[in-house]
Amino acid sequence: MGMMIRMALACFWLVPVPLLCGQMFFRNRPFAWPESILAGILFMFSAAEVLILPMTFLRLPLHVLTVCCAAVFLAGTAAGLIRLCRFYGKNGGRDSVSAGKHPFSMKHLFNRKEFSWYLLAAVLVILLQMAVVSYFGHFDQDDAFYVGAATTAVQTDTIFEISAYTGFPYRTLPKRYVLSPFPILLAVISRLSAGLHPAVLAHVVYAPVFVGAGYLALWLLARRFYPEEPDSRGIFLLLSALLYWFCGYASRNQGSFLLLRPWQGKAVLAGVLLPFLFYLCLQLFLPSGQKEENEPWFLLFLGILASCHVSTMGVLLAPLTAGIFMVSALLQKARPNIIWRTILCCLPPLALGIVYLIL
Amino acid sequence: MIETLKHAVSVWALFWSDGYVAHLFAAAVLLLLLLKRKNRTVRQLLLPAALALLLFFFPLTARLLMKMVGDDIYWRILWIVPVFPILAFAGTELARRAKKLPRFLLVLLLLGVTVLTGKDMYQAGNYTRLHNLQQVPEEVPHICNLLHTWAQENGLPYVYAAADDHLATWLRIYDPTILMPYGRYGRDARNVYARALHSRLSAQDGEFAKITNDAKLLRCRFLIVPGTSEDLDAQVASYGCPWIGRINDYHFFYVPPDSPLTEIEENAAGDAGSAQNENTAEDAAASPDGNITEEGAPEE
Repeated sequence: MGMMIRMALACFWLVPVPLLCGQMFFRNRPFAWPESILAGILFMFSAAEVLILPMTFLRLPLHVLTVCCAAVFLAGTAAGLIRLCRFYGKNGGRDSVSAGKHPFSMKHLFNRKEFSWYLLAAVLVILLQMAVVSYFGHFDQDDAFYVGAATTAVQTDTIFEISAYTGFPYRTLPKRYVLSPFPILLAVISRLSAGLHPAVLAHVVYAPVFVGAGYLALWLLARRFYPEEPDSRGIFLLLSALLYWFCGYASRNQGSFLLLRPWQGKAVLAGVLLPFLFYLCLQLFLPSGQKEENEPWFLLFLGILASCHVSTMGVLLAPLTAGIFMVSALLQKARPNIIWRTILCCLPPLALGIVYLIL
Repeated sequence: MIETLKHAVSVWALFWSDGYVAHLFAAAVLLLLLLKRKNRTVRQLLLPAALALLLFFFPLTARLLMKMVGDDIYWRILWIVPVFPILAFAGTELARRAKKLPRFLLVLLLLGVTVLTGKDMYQAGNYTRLHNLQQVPEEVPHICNLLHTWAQENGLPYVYAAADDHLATWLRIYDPTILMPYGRYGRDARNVYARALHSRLSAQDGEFAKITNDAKLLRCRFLIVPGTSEDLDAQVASYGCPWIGRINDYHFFYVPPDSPLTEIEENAAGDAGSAQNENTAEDAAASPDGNITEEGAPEE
């Protein structure tokens, strides 16, 4: 199959699928693609974590995992689509389409009240960055494991049975990586993209998708800070994009991780999931006082589980983030019922910590 | 306690390296505290950041976190401090109150400060134009093709190659059918000989007798030696490993399974013999199913 078709398939699994999967978490709410796509990514990562872990220990082949993941992702897509159709069916159907409220309508973007030159400039800068990370190569030696594990899994049809470094069977299970099997999801998406080479998938498709997702998280923060000010939202996003682009002096901060190696789990954690967790925590713990629709708590649970999936650092950083925002909210006189909710959301990393100790 | 605090401070400095983001961050926090401290959003943004920084610098929590994640990657804790959103927020707060033209000029000024105090990702030499979609170093696809073609023409069922650290990182990303005795930084090295071979090839120490000996003990079929020396090919070939090709500064040699003993092997016949046995035992141990063939590669 042609390379372009494979890439189009990969894009299908990484853009429309999470977009619709994410919609199933928002009841009675019009289509909002930034939240939807990020929530869908959380859903896909969480589902992958739940499926991959037992299959690794059961030593099941990769093709079984691929079928299961595809079934879950497509079920999520169907559920999201049904929820969307029901909402628009109930709320006016044709009327809402003509009023520019159609789920995929772009009319409002060109509405004078919503349009901002700053936002347009920010979008152009972000698109340029996405093109650069996809078109140009960046050599990162960590790929030896993060991409190597995926190529090995695809070639041998196994999950963490063969060493990515040597091609020989593991003597002991690499417990540091097994609990955060992000490279195996890369292998799964590679299989679902008609065998697109995992290195091509990571460097050419994953890279722009996750850079875009990182900026969507920042866009949500901008929208929360300035719900009625399109220009301010644009300035916020433009400044963020420039700050990220001009942090080439160091290789460890969130910006350089996101723009240099966005296909690696730790970069997705630093650049996409943690900013989205900031947003979720702000929404859930510290209401802005404006009339707004809160995100469901289940998303925080998924966010923390997804963080565990992408990196072992997520096992610590995600609950730490939730904990910090919780304490901050309590200091600002939030209702104490957020404590037990936060504890419930932090159960996945706790369980993974116990599994790590057992291994 | 003081040591921990010093370590946290040095990690903070290293995290931002020679950029000015830390200074800009301090200026942004000061500005927000001075001008907007009663603003609800400012409180909601600064309080979690302050708590995260407290966790990072306070010796007791810092010590605990260092123990949990390890001293060497303690800097990753800083990912939970929303530095970039706070910077962008402070900049936006500065600009948003102004009217149209002054606002535009203020935004230009802020962008100028960002550009002048930072370093462009692209100009920092982080990106390279490559002609392979896998985006691996350009020589890697050629090397993989050469090895496979040679193996195919000479009836070898697999490619088992030893190379320096650079190729050990990239070969299996491009082509996972290639087997290696160790990976990047010598990780997952099969035994002491693999570790020694990795060090020697990566250091380019020119000890070709030992290098070929290790490759034979590991039963590699290909040896990839980096170097620019003109007589390198002849030197390695003199130890019973015929030269098969060259790409850039990489020289390729075939390691025959029944090649005559090298001088080192003869000198240390006892050691070599026991090592061979040990190696076989290790290989068998490497595979729970015991599916390592005599040639040292997994069975089909």
